[in-house]
Amino acid sequence: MSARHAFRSVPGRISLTIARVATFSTHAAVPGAGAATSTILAGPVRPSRCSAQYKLVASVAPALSPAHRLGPLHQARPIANTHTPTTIMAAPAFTVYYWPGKGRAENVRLILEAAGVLYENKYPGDDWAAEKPTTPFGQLPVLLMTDDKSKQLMQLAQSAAIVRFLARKFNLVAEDPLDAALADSVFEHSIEVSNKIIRLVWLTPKEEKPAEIEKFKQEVVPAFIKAQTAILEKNGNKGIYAGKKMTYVEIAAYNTIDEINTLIPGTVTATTAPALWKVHELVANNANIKAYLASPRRHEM
Amino acid sequence: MASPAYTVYYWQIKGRGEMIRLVLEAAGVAYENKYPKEWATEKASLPFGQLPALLITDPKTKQTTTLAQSAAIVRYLARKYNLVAADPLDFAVADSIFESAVDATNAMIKVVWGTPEAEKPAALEKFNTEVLPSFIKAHTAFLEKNGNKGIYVGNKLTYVELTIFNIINELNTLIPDAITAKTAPALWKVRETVANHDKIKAYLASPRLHSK
Repeated sequence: MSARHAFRSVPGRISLTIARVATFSTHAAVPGAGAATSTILAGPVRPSRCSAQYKLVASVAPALSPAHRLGPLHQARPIANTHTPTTIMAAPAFTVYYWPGKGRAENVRLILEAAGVLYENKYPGDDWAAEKPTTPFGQLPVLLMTDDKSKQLMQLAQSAAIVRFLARKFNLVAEDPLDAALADSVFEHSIEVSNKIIRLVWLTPKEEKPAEIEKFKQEVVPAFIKAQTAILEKNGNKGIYAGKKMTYVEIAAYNTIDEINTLIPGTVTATTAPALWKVHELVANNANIKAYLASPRRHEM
Repeated sequence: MASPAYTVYYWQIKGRGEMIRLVLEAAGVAYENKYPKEWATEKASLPFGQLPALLITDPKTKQTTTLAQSAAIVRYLARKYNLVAADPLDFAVADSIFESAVDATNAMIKVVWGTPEAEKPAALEKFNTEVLPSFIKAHTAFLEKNGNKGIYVGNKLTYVELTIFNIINELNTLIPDAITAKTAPALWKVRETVANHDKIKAYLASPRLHSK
């Protein structure tokens, strides 16, 4: 898995898709022809060694409907690459398309990291105004991936839908449906709090911020701690909301706790919210998450 | 195994409870409504101090579980009663459409309940010229991609169509003729598909339907 750690989140990297092909023959790109078409390489490509199984291709935007049309998104761009060439043994199956920050994409990245799944980051460039209408709802984050059935590149929008999809795919959900539902309600609650923080940080006029932050501290935080603590205590106070294992819900709670503590340092701690802090520690000490948190892949804000 | 007993615990209106009721009705599953009587006390006993909640009573043990958060409730019931797309990726795409409906609902709630009276006309205008067209455009694209048959993904009615049916009604209450056969034909087909579903049709004609 060393190739995975060689990836860096460098803005302006080529967003390439590596298609697994049975032979090295090349065919002209035919939209909808299936997996075995290799296509035009546009722009400079950094040198790499591919295993016999993989061929490097850059996808020509497939002929999809307007809702999923990628337009310029997946065309190769020139890279200003100052990093050592990396060995590409396997391609990322997922691209997290979002601004260069945590925001609404961080839960998506945390899930992928926890699952040990390779992914790339892609950031909007100067052409965001042109790319925006090619996304399903004109918003980011969007998860770019290949549809297993059609073999076409596709976009999945809406951070919560992306998180739930990846969680199920990589078994980061509780097994019992009612446990999963209870945990899902906690996820909804954590996201509500995160949304309030995003509004506070990015959408509140500067002069109103101090009052709003104080209000958040006095009203939202205690309610958040109280509600989630009750649920955690009911499940044995082991840092897990329902069932027995770490899931997307604990991961999202970790992220919300982190956001709260970034906004108002020292708010959620082992002393002020011991049950919640256990969630924080459970996630932070997960081997894959721990490695991620120490890596340069993590965005600062 | 015997069916659990369900109670939809919410105000005596449609609001955020309605999509839960629609899922239960479409599934042909019996439920009761429970309305708050002394909200101040009852609020403290709820998981997040909010409604709706779904009370699920196990027929054998008689134990009641309280499930909160309307979206979590809807997804739970939808999965249980097979009102979901079978394929996980189809499910995810439909789920993203559900999320966008939640966004639109929240934007609407903000205009109606979260804007000072003086600022309302401007907020409503902004909703009408920005949020609504964007909503119609995005949803129409999905619906047309799936053959413009009033279903977002695949072939069967799911919790997503039920949710959109509900939000179309809400939008039209806020802004008359916001979504019609003329202004948003693909979305209108969703409305018609749900309204003509035999169980929903019966529900809409029944006294179980809340008037507001």
